[in-house]
Amino acid sequence: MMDAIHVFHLGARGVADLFTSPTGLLLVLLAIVLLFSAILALRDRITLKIGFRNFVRGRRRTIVLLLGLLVGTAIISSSLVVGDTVASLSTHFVYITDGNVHEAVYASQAGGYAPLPLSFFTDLNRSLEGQPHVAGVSPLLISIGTLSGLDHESGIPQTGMNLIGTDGNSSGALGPFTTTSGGRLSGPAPGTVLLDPTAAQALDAHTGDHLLLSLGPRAETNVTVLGLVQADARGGFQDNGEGDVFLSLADAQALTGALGSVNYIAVTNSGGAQGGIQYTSTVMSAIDTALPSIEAGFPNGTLPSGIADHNVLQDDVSSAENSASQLTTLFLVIGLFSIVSGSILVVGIFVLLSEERRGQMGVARAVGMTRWQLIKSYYFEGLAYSLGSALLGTFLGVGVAFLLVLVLVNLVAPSTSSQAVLASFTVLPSSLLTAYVTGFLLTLTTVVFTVAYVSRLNIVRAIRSLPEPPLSRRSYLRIGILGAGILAIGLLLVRFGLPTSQDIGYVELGSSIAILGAGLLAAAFVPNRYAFSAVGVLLIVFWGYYPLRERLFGTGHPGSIFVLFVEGIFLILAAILVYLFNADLVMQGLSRLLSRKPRQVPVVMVAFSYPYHKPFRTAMTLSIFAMVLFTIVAIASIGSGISANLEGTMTAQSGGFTMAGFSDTPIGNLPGTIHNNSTLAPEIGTAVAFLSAHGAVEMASKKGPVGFSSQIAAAPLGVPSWEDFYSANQYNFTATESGMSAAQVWRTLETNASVAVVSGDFGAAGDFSFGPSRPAVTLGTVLNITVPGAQAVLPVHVIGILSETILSVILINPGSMESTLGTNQSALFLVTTAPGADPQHVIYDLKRAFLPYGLQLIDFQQTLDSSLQFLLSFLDLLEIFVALGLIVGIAAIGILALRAIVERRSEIGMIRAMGFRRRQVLIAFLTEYSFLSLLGIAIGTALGLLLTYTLSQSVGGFLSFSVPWVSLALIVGLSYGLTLLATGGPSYRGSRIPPAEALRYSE
Amino acid sequence: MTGELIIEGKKVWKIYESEAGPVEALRGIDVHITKGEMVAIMGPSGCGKTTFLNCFSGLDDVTKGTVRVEGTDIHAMNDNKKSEYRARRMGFVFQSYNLLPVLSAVENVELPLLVSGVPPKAARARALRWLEELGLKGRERHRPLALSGGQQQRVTLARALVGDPAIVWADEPTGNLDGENSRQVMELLRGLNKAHDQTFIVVTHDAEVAKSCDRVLRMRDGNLLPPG
Repeated sequence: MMDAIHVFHLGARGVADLFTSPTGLLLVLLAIVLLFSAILALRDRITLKIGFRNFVRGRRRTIVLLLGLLVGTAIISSSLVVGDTVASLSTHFVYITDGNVHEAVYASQAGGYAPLPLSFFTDLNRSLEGQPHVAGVSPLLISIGTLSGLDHESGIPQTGMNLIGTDGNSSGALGPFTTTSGGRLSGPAPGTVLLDPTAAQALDAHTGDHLLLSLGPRAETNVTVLGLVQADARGGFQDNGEGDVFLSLADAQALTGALGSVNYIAVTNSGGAQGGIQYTSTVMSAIDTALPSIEAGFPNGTLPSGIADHNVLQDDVSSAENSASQLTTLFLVIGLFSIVSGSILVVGIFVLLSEERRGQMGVARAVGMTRWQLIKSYYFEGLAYSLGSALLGTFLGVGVAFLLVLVLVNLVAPSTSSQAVLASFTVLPSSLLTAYVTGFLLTLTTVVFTVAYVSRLNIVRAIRSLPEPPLSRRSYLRIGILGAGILAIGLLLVRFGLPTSQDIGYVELGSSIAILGAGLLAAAFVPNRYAFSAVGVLLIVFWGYYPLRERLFGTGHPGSIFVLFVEGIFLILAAILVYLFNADLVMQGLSRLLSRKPRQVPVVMVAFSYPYHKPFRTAMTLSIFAMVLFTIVAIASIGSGISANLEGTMTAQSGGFTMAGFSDTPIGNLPGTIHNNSTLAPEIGTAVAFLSAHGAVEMASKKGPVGFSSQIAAAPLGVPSWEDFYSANQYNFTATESGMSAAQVWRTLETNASVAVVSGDFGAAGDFSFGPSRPAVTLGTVLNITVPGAQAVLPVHVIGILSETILSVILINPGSMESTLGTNQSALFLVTTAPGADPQHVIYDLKRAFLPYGLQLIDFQQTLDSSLQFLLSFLDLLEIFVALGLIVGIAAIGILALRAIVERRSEIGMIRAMGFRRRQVLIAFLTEYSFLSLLGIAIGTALGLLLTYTLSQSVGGFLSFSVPWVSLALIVGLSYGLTLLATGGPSYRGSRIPPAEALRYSE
Repeated sequence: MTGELIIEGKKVWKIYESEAGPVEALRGIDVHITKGEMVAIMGPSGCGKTTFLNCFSGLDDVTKGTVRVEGTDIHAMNDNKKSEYRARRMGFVFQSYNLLPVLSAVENVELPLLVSGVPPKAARARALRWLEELGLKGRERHRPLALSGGQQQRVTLARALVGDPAIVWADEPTGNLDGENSRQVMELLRGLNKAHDQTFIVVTHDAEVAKSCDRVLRMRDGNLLPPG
């Protein structure tokens, strides 16, 4: 088993990555920091000694601190390694689907490739013969997603398959086929076919079965299955999910009617699939040089226009790597909360350490140590923690990534063997280094800033443990000036971000910064409680009440997933500000609530006095718990909201129909054919045939006109009721012009030639992708539509945006479709099955009946079930990933508990002396930690639910607001349980200290 | 020695285990203290004064022997009973004050009353009265670190006396104070002793402090020296 695990892929690329940015830059930074540290250490050994001794002073505490500090690095490391592995897996699939095709020469045409004379291939082959990096040139005849087949033995049809005509003699460079029994074949003989696993499974075909293949009503042939082949580089070639059927080149030419032609010339580089990529540019240059002279040898009009060479494998590998990189980004953004929590913990730990050593620091300063030396001693201690925790975090992240990849691959490709997953698990040295150096620098930087702050101490106050005096009037004035500056920056972000930004996040960030700045400014003139409570409430209203943002900034602004991070941070900050500046009221209320019995009063008093009088520690613990719980609860409630809305989503997506059909060849009268078919007629309730065509659409954008392609359709009028879309559909809208009802929108579409309705995927609402490539279509947007063969461009304006996203269609007036665009053919259908009919059987019957047209069908229920199942499972995976952050929370509260039994030892002795029982001491401690963790959990949970609520308001459609009570109970129970586990031990030990011993103790 | 016996120790031993071997902190001492007495325990550092206080007040266990307080063997009680007894019948004053830094002066003083089950309003009223009596009016809401050493020690005294304990244990109560503050605190202790007929056991190495007491018990190497 272990042989299959390639944990380290230390290829040339991996090593080379080390010295390219940004990894190289990080390495340089690491080297600079270490060199700087070494120089500091050599020049001042005493501070090095103090720092190092403090590091090794308490083993248990050192371990807890390292655990708390490593989480940030582990998040970075696991995100990067998931990216590495997904990139490796994606490229693995690219190598299968592209096969040994490094470059390809073809001319595109609508729906596929234009035919080229076979002699064109011969000429190109001859031209490239002398090229050292060309292993071979192969002629192919390919038709993507158009082939239909019926297995006579199983009786099962399949449509939308790929036809691949290949010449076994001249396509040797593509490699041999491997049959499922392990045999090797160079290619199919005339009259036979090879099926890849997808096609074989869909048709339930076996070797020797007889198939009817069809490429349209007048292009049919009967063949025998020569063999079933494995989905390797040859047998998985071009797979689009519906299956590959390999024919001999001659049979493919006969079936397509392209006699003596090919349409795709594959070029294979020397060095194998992966090794040959490096020659791509050289070979493409050679092809570019050869093509003009070859084309010149053909008479005018005998070749299609636009023949060109295409970079296939290299581009697809890059594209796969980009997709993996997006996944890394998603994990990193989701993990940002845990990373920020980790940083807060670093600050907290070093503030606690400095509080603990305040007296020592004062004495050290008194006997002549400079502030810089004090900073250095902490710097060395922080350096040891940073180096250690980053190392542990990096490798913990690899373990986490392995678990994530196992789950992820199981979601995406359940059929992938665990061996394949293990074999693809990839950890690039560059990723490890990036995670290590980033984690290390993040920790160290936080330490340096924290220590620089805490080292500003008054020597006398430090030695005598006197409290810091309240801020002076001058300090408040400085804060006010700072607030004014921050307010100005926020307002500038809003002013210039709103009209220009593609991402609403900048504007919302600006608004929040402005509120914060205004609060700081106000603090110079009014009591802190009023200023910061107002900031907190305003931020919560701003982020939590969506209609306000809609009113301020309007709708239709695209947002990225980063907005969610910004929103989360500000909401948590707001809640903690409100708590901190009103903690006395909270404490009074809670104390009254919990002090029903007189004997509970002193316990509650002791328990709540520390969180109240140590606001920094309280804020640290609350924010860490709140951030982690916020993300977990938000993800859980999004999943719950999606699940709760399943029925609504089904209606929204299906419009009340059972399935949608798409045909390669237009079908003249699908409803009529069904009506006259004795098998189909009883199975079908409604059948709508749209007038449809693939069209080109142009719309205005901020950067000028933008074009894209889309399916254009119109439901005919004057048809029998069982074919009438307008009366049968139950589609709903996310937005309609002037607030029209659905019925009004459809009536307008029936009668008005210049309006359109678009599928939900054209709208901006709910688009949280990493940057939409197409501008958002909103109500009133004017679309200029044309279709092939049309004599005019049809301008329409959008009056409704559907919730539906599966059809991805622009619906227009049927009159415009026929008269302006000249389309009267149907290739898009909606079908409702009759009550009691099995949709899968209906699909088989429909495919069989319309086999020559290549009718493909989507069962809405099945499609939604599988996609929602994937989405929900993926959300579960993210939930587990962010739950890693709980380690930070547990470490934070564990550190507080460990610290408490040291810091409050003599106080424990005193309260025991005055009569506190052991149990009361234990309850006081546990009440304190329970209060801190439960308040953090409550803030995080409430805000996570608030986020989902605002999301459900803003994206609408598939997401409704639903509280996942069971999940919440589990999450809260787990978080609180872990808190008790972390604090129970120290609290118990604290309560068992004999009072005399506790009174004797001094730190 | 006449009067009602309040503390009686018989053959009390306290032996600590240490890496260097057992340390005999108390070596079978016998003690009798009567109600209302103010007794000073004197001796050089390390002679066992604080161990005496800890063992006779029930803060620490004894190795051998019996300690009867108000007629009850305090070490025969379980931990909860001991805690309850301390809450109702004892008060403590320590050299380093041992005030809870996160509680205000009045909260520190009312804490032992609350532990004893006194209703919060009554506890607050008594705590305020004691603070006023000890000259801390106006300082009730201050946290300990905002008070001077003398003021902190007076808060400690108020905390020790607010529950009207039968016995007040004071471990070096003037150890952190200057001469004037020491004198004031001892006058206060003496006055309270007379006024409330409470028993005071004061551990000290200061002869001036010892002079204010009714009786002085001298210790050396874990033994009580004969009087005189």
